[in-house]
Amino acid sequence: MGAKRLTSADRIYMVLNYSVLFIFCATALYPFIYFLALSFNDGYDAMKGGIYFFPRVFTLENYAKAFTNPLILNSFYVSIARTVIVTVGSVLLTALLAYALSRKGLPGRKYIVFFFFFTTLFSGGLIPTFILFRQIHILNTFWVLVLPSLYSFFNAIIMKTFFDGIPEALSESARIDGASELSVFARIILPLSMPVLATIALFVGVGVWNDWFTGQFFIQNEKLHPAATFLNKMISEASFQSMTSSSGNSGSAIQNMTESQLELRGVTPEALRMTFVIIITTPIICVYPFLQKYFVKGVLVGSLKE
Amino acid sequence: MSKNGLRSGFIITLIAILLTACAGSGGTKEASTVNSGSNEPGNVSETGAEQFKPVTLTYLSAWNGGGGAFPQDQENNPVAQKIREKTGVTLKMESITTSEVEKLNTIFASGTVPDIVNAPFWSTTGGEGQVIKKAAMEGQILDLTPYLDKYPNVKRLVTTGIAKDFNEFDLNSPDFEGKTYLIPTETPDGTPESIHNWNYGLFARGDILKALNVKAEEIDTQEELYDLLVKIRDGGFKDIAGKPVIPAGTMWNGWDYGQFLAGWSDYNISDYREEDGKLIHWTQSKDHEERLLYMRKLLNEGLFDLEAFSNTSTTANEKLTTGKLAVFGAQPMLAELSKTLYKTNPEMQYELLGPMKNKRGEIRTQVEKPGRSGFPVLFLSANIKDPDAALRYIDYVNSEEGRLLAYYGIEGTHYTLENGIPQWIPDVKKQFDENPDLKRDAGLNFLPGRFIGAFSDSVTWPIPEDQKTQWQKLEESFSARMPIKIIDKVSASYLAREWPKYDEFINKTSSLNFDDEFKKALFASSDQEALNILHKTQEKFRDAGVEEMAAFVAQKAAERDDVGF
Repeated sequence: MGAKRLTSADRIYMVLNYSVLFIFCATALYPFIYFLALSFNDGYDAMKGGIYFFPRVFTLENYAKAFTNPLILNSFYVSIARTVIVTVGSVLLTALLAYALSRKGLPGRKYIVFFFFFTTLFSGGLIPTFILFRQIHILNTFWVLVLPSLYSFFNAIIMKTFFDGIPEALSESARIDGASELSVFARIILPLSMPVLATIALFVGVGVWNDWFTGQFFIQNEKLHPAATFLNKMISEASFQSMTSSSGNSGSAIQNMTESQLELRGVTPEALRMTFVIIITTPIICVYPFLQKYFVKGVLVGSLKE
Repeated sequence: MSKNGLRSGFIITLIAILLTACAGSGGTKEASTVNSGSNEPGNVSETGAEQFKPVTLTYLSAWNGGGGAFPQDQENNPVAQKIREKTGVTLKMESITTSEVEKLNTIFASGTVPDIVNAPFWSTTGGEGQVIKKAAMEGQILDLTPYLDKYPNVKRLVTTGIAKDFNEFDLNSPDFEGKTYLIPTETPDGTPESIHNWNYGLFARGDILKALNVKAEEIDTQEELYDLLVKIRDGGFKDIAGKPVIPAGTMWNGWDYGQFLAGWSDYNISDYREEDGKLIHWTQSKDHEERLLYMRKLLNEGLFDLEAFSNTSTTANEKLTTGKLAVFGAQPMLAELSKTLYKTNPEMQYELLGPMKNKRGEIRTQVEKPGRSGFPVLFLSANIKDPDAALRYIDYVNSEEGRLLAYYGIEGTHYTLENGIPQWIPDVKKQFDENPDLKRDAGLNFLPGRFIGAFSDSVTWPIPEDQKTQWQKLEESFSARMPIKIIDKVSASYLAREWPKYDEFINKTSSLNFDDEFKKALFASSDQEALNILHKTQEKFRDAGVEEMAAFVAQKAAERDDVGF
């Protein structure tokens, strides 16, 4: 008994398979490598192009510029707090909602599901949303980053579909043994639902981590801006500054720069943009390997139902 | 419970919720956050200066990215402290990194207008200006008319450095009924020297001109330009990477290919032209045929960058900083070139061609009216609790003392005055040069351009010759060869607004973009097809009524003696 011998067809298939996978991996990975190289390259030198894998004129100036603002660390704390609270809260609340909707005995279940679905057909728009947040006093507070992100109909449906696939017999037997509905949910359903919970947690976590718009539009207090908002702001301000002179006029930037300013300003908006992409994606890349096994299992979540 | 009963119950619930949501109180208009400081002065200090009770006002810079000029410590930087000492006012500043129009719509719709707002104001027929105008007419912006005599510097801002047609039709729109709502900023001081020269032109690599034994100033017609480009194409010239150059190109998105068509330009300040004794809209000019065929010739003969119109800023900068473009049309781009190509390959320094001659045989140059048409404006919320505090602030920073503070900081700490000209203290200058953020954090970046108007620092405090950088001198040399043409007339374009069918014309042509169609025609498969595209586009404008509009404008223009085309 030994390992199965590979036929020629197997070998050809393997070569093709790995080649295609390599191409896909390279396509996905290369932009990150490119951004990484540019983030460590002098901005003005980068303008000349020709940088592919490694920086040509190595510098840490871009990162130094990115981290000069003391609020950047604060923005990461806000982002981490937001991501953790929203991820945990959203997964828990969505699971509760999805479980309730998956119970066949729920009176008016069809209508309740339609009611939730109905809200996805249209939106009031930006200004009514702004007015709503102001009326419930969450504008310019941490809670505007949290509360609106806790609920998503699509995530609820994904979870509901998964819960529908869990045999009813499991829950029934627990109820017969005297378990309450909450106990059934916490001790039977949730442990069996790790794939879908991890998947939804990843979707929500990444979405919330990358969201810059909520902070930009609904929060004026800079100390409450999450990292994505803060970094987006720095990029916009760098672009704006490069168009205007240091005196604030929209005249030629060159006309108000001194010689040494011209020497030293190697940080361009483009270089800053690359740097910020690396800064903002690195934490997610670090977290993802821990969730990967659940994500792989959860890829087909919602697609099959008993 | 029966199925029907459930269904009915659900529908009733849904309707009830919808009605509740739609019948919201709409919220009461919240006043912006202002500490209730009294406008009444407090004690008179020992020095005899009036002291004002401290007031904090909210300020919004409604410019995408405008917060980059804000100091880290908004309240206690040296400039803010000095202003507080003089006026009692502290600003709590906010900026945006989204669309300006969106932000303005939000603050007006939700009633959350900060005390002071600075926003773009280019025209009242669209964009930010239209939103601001509507808000003013709805009473959301404070009428400043009763205050102007009390604050002479503010009054100067609303009367100086503004093009008279813009003043008549936009800034003081007839719909405002004589009221003043807006304070222009970043406006010139009324002198021709204070108008900024952007130095648009054609710039050719100096080493290539030298190799071809061509003097830059001798290339000033379309024919000479064409001949030069042919020589460059056939000359085997290379960029810094050793790759063949492109004879001619532009920056991103084809900006500014119009420089290559200078021979068909004229000194215009409106959308109308006099052609064959008749007033026509610019889209109807016969010159477009020659312009089109000339550009097509450049493209088809390999003389012009085929990717010019799809260049992103990244690809355009790459071509520029590697010397790939033998000739480019735009501004001199010195900020980019001085840090890259000119450092590594100074022999490739670009020279200004011509200047090119226009239709009249005169130099093609920047055309301006004596004042500015469109600028940042300041306005105050109608709900502001202390308008005098806000106007006191604006009035002070626009005084002679305030401007010195805004641009140079504290005398003796940041600068000294020599013959009335401020000079940076050398150590301070060195620190600011080495770290521009220090200058920002001293409060020296956020006032100029957003709070100050009717002023030019370069005219009032000219930089001594020995302190100018080589690049400043180079820009000045370009400006000397292309002095701004000033036309002190009312643009005929404003007269079209009185045409009864003007709005209809705007609606019909809103999806028509002449420039896009022109670019499409540049890449048509044949000259005939290109001309067909051009003629069809012109016909669409005629179908929308452009000829009737031009006739109306001509008639209106004849009734005044101050209209320019």
